[in-house]
Amino acid sequence: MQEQSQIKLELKNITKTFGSLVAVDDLSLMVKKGEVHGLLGENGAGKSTLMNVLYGLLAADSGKILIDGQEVQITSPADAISHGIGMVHQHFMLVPTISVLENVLLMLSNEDKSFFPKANQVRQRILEFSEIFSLDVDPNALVRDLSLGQQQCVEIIKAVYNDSDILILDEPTAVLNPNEAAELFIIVERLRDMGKSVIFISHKLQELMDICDRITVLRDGKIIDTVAIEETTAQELSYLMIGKRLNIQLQRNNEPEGDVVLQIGDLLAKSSGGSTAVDHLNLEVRSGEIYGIAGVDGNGQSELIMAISSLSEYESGSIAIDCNQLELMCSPKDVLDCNVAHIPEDRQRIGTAMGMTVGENLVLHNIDNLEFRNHRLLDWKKINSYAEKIVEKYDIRTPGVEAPLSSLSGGNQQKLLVARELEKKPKLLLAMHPTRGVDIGAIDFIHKQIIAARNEGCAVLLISTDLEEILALSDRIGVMYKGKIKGEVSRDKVKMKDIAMWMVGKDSDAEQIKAG
Amino acid sequence: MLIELTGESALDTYKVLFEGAFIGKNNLSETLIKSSILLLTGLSYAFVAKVGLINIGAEGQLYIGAACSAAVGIYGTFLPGALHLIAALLAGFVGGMIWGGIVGFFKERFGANEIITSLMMNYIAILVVSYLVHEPMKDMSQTYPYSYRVATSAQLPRILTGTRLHAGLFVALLCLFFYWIYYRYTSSGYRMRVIGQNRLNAEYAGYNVRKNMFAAMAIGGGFAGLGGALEILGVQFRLFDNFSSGYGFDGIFAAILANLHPLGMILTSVVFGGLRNGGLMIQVKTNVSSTLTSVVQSLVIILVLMRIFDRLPIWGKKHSNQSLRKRSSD
Repeated sequence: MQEQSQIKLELKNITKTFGSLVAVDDLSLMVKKGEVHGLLGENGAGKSTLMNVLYGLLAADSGKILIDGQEVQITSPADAISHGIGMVHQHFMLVPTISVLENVLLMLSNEDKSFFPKANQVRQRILEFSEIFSLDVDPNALVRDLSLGQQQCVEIIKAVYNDSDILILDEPTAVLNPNEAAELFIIVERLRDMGKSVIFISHKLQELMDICDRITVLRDGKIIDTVAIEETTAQELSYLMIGKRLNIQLQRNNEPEGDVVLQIGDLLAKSSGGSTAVDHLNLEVRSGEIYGIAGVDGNGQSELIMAISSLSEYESGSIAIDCNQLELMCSPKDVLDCNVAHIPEDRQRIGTAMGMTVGENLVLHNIDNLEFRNHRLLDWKKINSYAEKIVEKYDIRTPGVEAPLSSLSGGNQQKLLVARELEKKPKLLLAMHPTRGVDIGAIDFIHKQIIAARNEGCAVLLISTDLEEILALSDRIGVMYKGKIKGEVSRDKVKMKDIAMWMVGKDSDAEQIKAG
Repeated sequence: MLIELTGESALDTYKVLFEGAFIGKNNLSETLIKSSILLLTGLSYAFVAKVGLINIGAEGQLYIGAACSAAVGIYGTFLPGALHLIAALLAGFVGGMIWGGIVGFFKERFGANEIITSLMMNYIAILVVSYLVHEPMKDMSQTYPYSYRVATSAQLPRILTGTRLHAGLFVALLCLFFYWIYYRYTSSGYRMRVIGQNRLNAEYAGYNVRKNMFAAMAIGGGFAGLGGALEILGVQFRLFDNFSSGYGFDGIFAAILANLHPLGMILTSVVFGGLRNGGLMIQVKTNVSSTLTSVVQSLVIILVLMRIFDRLPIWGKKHSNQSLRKRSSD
């Protein structure tokens, strides 16, 4: 027990600023040997920045790093590795077209300068690790053929390959499904049993409660508290994290449902791979109603949204928005002209232009607005003051409206996207995973905004794999399974059991009885 | 170092180069003449680069633009006075536009890689001009394959007596001004920038990506074509084989070096124009070959492509900060 409480890693008074934004503010942290230490905080709280400093990807403005009581200088990832620090990044750092073995060799190429790498030795080592962690990793398999969970395993092998004693996992479960996450937890526990220190970064409360020994809560670049897991509750942690109690009860006007805004009839759409993704689907969304589509990812949700927004072609069927029948080959602009707002599932790839400024991103839809003109030219002063208003209204944390969007944290990028779409005062809102990868504070905020739009008469089609989100927001819930709406139920008649059955493609009990 | 190898003093050579480029009314004028063409071919690259495409066809667009303006300059004598000149300039623009537009059309319709097509169109353009000066437009009184002389009414007026500096300089600056205003202060310029930054985002916002790309290629080509018109109507007055000697490519380098920034492009165009002009001077005055300037230019380009300048304290600050920020955002 005495050995366990030994301090392995100590960060002292670390400060890191980006321009006028203080990302990490005079922060000190201690990690013990053989513990899993959770870092909890909203997006932009400074978790990733702190870990990038520790791993040598960013240089701190001031502060010290001590390992085993010795002060060390870490200016590059190579330094970090030589001090026994391994990191698994939020986004995988793997080359998909080559094998697992080659990926590990690639990492080793810094030390092993020989022309012919010692492949057999390394392969042996990978197999050893696979055995220790009971992983299922074939060193010769191509990375692109592996599931995300397996890729995560490869990342972990890379991180522990050099016998690192400190392992940083940056949002390791963000891309994993629940089963894969459970397997990851087993590996993390095994690492702890081996006496390694694991720093586990996440904004998901529950998983930190499950796996960690101690949790440090960060807010605005400062440490709020470090608590041992036995001495705390989820409620307390979430309070520490966002600084206020969660507002779970959302204000909802129960106004009568209005006209049908979105009507989909017999829609057939194929995935990019050519298989049927949306299979003769029928759907209606009314004004002032949130229709939530639940279901396991990959059951045609993406294709449904792409078809409605006309971003990809569909085979047959009819789509009508606000009584305008859309043609089969209409352009995305025709759809937007029906006053449709769209929060796409991938904010970085589709939703925004990361290289442009905050202000430029906010006027994506209304650049032609005459308010922004001075004689016939764009007046950036007017645009920027408009952007500043939005930034304030939606509480988007940014160094300024002229800062590039890429300098904002993920949660704030998402807020900006939501703000831009809702400012259109749309008749129909298509929202796909509107809060994916966003912290609790921002989730709460985005939910409120969606509800507010609904109360003003907007029809909302909400697609999410987060069942809690669907249940919290929707007036009607449909479960999508293999391209069809498997079952549909209104808010007051929801039974969790039915939804769970529909999600795996079975009929609910009630229907079975009827059929029998 | 290379110069020392040839047995000449490096410092002296650079002195000659500099004086040949910028000292004296005549030298400076010659430099500016070359710079204005480089500015236009650079604009041709920059305008297209803003929508995320790479146009390395400025050379070909310049040739076709030159041919068109020469044709109007020679045969359009029925046009009165200034109108003739304007028509000849316009013809240059339109010629380049067509040549760039063809690349844009292939891109729009078939998704053909614009780098390959624009490069290939260069060779076609050079051969087309070669055909024109050997056959239909050949001045029969000349031994060499020259076209007829452009009528004086279509020649660009000199703006500095005793030199060849002509009004084309203003044409180039006007185009640069348009480029700056267009991308900074018009909504269609804004759209094109969104397309260049993230094509999917633009599609999602309902912008017509293909049409815009086609338009950008055509306008970009037009700029280069105007560059060709400048060379014919301001300096050569006749169309002949290989008159350009790589203006199209040097313009690309000038644009890249300036990071597509309007003011930066003035600077780089003048520097590259100076290198061209001064290079001739060192050939005359020293034993060093003028190809040396190409070596210097190429070295600069390679350094730029290696992003050496990003690591210099002043120049690189902005860039390195941005790349760090990207990492820190989670």
